[in-house]
Amino acid sequence: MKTPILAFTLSMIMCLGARAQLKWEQTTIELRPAPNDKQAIGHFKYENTGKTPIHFKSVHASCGCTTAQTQKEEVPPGDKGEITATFNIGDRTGSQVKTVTVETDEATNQKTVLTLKAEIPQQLEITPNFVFWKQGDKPDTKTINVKVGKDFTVKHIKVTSSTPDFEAKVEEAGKGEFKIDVKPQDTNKVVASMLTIQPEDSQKVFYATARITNAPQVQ
Amino acid sequence: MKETSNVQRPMLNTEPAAYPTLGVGRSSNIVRFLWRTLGLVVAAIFIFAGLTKILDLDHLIADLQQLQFANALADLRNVSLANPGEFARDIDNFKILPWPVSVALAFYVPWLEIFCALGLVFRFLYRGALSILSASIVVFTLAIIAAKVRGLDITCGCFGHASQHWSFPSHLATNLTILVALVALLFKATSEIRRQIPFNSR
Amino acid sequence: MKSSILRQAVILALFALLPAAGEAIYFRDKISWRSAIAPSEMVTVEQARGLGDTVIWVDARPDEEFASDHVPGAILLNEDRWNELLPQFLAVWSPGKKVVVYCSSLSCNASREVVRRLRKEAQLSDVFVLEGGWEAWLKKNR
Repeated sequence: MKTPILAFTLSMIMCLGARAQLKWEQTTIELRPAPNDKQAIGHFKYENTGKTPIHFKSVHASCGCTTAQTQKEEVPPGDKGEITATFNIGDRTGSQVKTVTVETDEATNQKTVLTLKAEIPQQLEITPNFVFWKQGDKPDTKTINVKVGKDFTVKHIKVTSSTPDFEAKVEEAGKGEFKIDVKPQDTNKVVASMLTIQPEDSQKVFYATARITNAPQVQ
Repeated sequence: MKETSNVQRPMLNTEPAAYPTLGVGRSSNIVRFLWRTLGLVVAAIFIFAGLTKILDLDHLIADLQQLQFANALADLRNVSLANPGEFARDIDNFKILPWPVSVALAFYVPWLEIFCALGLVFRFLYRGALSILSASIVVFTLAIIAAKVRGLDITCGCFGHASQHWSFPSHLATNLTILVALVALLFKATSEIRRQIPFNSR
Repeated sequence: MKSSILRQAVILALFALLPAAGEAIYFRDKISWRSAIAPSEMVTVEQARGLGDTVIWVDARPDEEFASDHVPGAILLNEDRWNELLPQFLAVWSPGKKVVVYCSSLSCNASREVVRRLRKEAQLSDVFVLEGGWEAWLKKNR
């Protein structure tokens, strides 16, 4: 009777003493990718400060745009390593927050959320990027506002319409701001045009859409 | 020995009606007037800050900036409640707090500003009001500095959308000026209280 | 003296809670505590189905997930290829249409981002997030 109790107590004491502990250098990384970067990569470094090995049970990201890799499945005591989180920027803009949830077999603190924050610089902010007229509407001019991102300098922009059905004129509207006045030739037929907006001295191209839409159906 | 009758213990919730009696005369009246004016100006700033987040004052402010007073009067008659979601989004844009906390602050902070400002006006819970406003300005200032360092291009939301076009230096300068005024008022009020604590009677 | 300042601050903080709570109750239908998308910008699967033929379904998930399965007739529009996919979506949109955007589940953020961009950049109204996402749609339809 005494032996099982003794064995249990000893094992509890050993468990407490041998508590594994994965220490993270930082659990939030902030990145500022360059304008042409396709990816933002964060290296989350850790160290096993405990006395038993730690195994990674799962490492998964909050979205399909982010992948996370561990260097090893098992981390021996005293060993260091890192989890690399790769965020594929795609056509995202502005502030982005992506998380990676790491699960281990530690007795306490099994789940850790690693956060990758990225500020994606945007050379031009185009609002709205879609202007439309209903069939039969008056072919009035509609304005697209273009604002230059604060980390960029753009003196001129060039706008071309993919079809002659729409005319686009550019005007400066203050420091770092432009106005694009878009006017259809007429609104008799359903047509669409891609407006290509290119900053001077830049290879990057931006787009807006102009369209004559069907008149809404009466419900 | 009996306590002298004109020794007063400081009241907890109200502030002394008059400034210390160190020197009576025109110069101390002017000094007193200036301190009072400073307190009222700071209170007005925070009442404005709170109201811009509770009420939709964008049109009113735009008309006043363009000196269109007739339009401003019409806007005043048609004023409506602002959408607290906008201020919540401004707080959320700092990417420091979770969304539910941003929503809670969006509801709470404007009223806290107004109540503290009223405390300055009516000198009720005066030092508590000053300390809350000082702490909040410190927090706002640290948040906009952090946002600047992280390269976030955001509206502070401090004065609703009235301040959305302010640059970082303008925000910083405004906040630091207000903070200096608040700290000065707090020190002044605290030193007045200290002077009124009686010495041990002999 | 220190506790006096603290006590005053606590009293003021408590006073301010009352109108704040009142305002929170007043705006309970207009602001969501769960997400930055207002309740008026979310629809359930039943509500979306009730919109009939006016609905354009938009899938905000990655390309592979869309290719694997999606709401019949849905258009792919994700942030990975936003610039390429947006014109195709706009070609299908017309005034009067309601747009319902979904991603994988309640916790997925992609549909909220797509709705945000359609409302802000393209300035479309009547754009909604499907509550519960693809998971919720599957539950109601399989």
